[in-house]
Amino acid sequence: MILTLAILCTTLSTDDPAGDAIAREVHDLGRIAYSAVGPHGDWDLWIMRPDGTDRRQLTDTRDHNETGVRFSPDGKHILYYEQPVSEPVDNNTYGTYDLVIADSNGSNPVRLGRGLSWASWGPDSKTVSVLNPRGISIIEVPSRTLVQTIPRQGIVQQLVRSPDGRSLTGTANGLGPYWNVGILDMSSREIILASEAERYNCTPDWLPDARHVIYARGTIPERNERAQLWIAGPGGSDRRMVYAEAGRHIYGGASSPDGRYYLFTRSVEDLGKVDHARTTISLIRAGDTPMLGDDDPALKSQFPDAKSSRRLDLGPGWEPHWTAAEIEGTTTP
Amino acid sequence: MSRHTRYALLASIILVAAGCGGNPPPAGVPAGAVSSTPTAEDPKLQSLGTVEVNARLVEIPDGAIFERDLYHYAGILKYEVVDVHRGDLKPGDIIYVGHYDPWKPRAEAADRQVTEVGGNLTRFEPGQLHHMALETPLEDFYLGAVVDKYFGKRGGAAYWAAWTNAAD
Repeated sequence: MILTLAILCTTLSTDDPAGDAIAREVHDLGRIAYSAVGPHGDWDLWIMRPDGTDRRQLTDTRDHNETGVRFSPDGKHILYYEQPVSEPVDNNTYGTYDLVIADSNGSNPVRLGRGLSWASWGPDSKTVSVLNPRGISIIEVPSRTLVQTIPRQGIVQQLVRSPDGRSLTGTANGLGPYWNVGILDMSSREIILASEAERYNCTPDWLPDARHVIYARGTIPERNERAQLWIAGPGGSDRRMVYAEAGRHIYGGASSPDGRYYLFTRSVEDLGKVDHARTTISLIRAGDTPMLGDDDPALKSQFPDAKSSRRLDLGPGWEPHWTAAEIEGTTTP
Repeated sequence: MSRHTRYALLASIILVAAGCGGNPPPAGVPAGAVSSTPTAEDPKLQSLGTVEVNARLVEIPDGAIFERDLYHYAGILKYEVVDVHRGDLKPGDIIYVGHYDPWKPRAEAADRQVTEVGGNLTRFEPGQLHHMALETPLEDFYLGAVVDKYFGKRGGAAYWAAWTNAAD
């Protein structure tokens, strides 16, 4: 409770005119769900208005960590992963634990168990795509009825189906010497590179246009650079920096349902293992990008046209996801 | 007991033994390629994978093996086959093998994500002879990140190293 109140106070009184302006714009634009450490020290799912108000827990387990929450396209359900509290929450492995489907307010959870890695909703809100070594399966939930299997074409984690259902994106091998972000056409079964190939790239998600992905552009090996938020289309078309900050690694990029805002997380340390105290959620306007989060001279030189920071900080959290839907049972009476 | 359970149990036993310190290296065996178990008697080499070879590690490209706690990955390494115990390879063949977290001693490489890897090799060095149990294609047996410094330079499927012992 104390933690919740502290977060609420922080987000409601920002002393930040730019953040306050964004907060007023997004207040009524649905809900954001995310993972954060609750009062008992384990990771739970939380939900809030996009301005950070009306924040409450969706799950309240003590022996499990809940991660990777994603709303179904119709806003009626969520999927997430549940792992033993003894297992550290990790950016690269959370989607390999037990898949759970529930109502969007966290009620009626159905545990589907293991073997359904990196699940992502289909556009019908009735199926999910899941990843395993032998391919990508489309299954109905909660029945687990297999609908379709396609080759995974090197995708190894963070699988996300496009809003139109025609493509998948994910972190993939085989597109360069390291892991990259690829876009897999489900009809042709061809995968095309979206990110640059000569660095580590990961955590992709779709923009509402079902053509571009927003992702974390990681470091070139041995350089130890900070991960930045980028957008690209198939073949690297329209590839551009969205948000960069010298003092933070940027992961978990996601768009608002209308494409006008971008969500992401800022981490002091690179991920891997998610250090809650140093991983926070922020929100920016798409129209304000490219943006630099600080005054680093090297980044300014690299991105001379980037705007200065106009960001709404939403406090500690990780892997946020946004729905336009109003969620019953999550609004303060 | 399922095959998976059997492997996991054996791997656990090996990990416990490694955690207790194991035996000192035999005299004359170079550090970094130490075997505390006679290679020919290691049942894992005969039971794991569909291919079993002795192969010489041709080289280690720059950046193919690095230690970074954040990332678990398989590093692709180039081998020349010397002896074939199982499978369709022949001596002289060049193969590319993915080793999970190659900066770790093989006995410490298994984790929650990848349970069925191991062996007694403690460090990869060019020119070493390795006795390996392999699967192919790598993608069918490993769902994780790959560092492939041979990207665009090699053909054919890579192999997945299930078990790797020193054989020099």
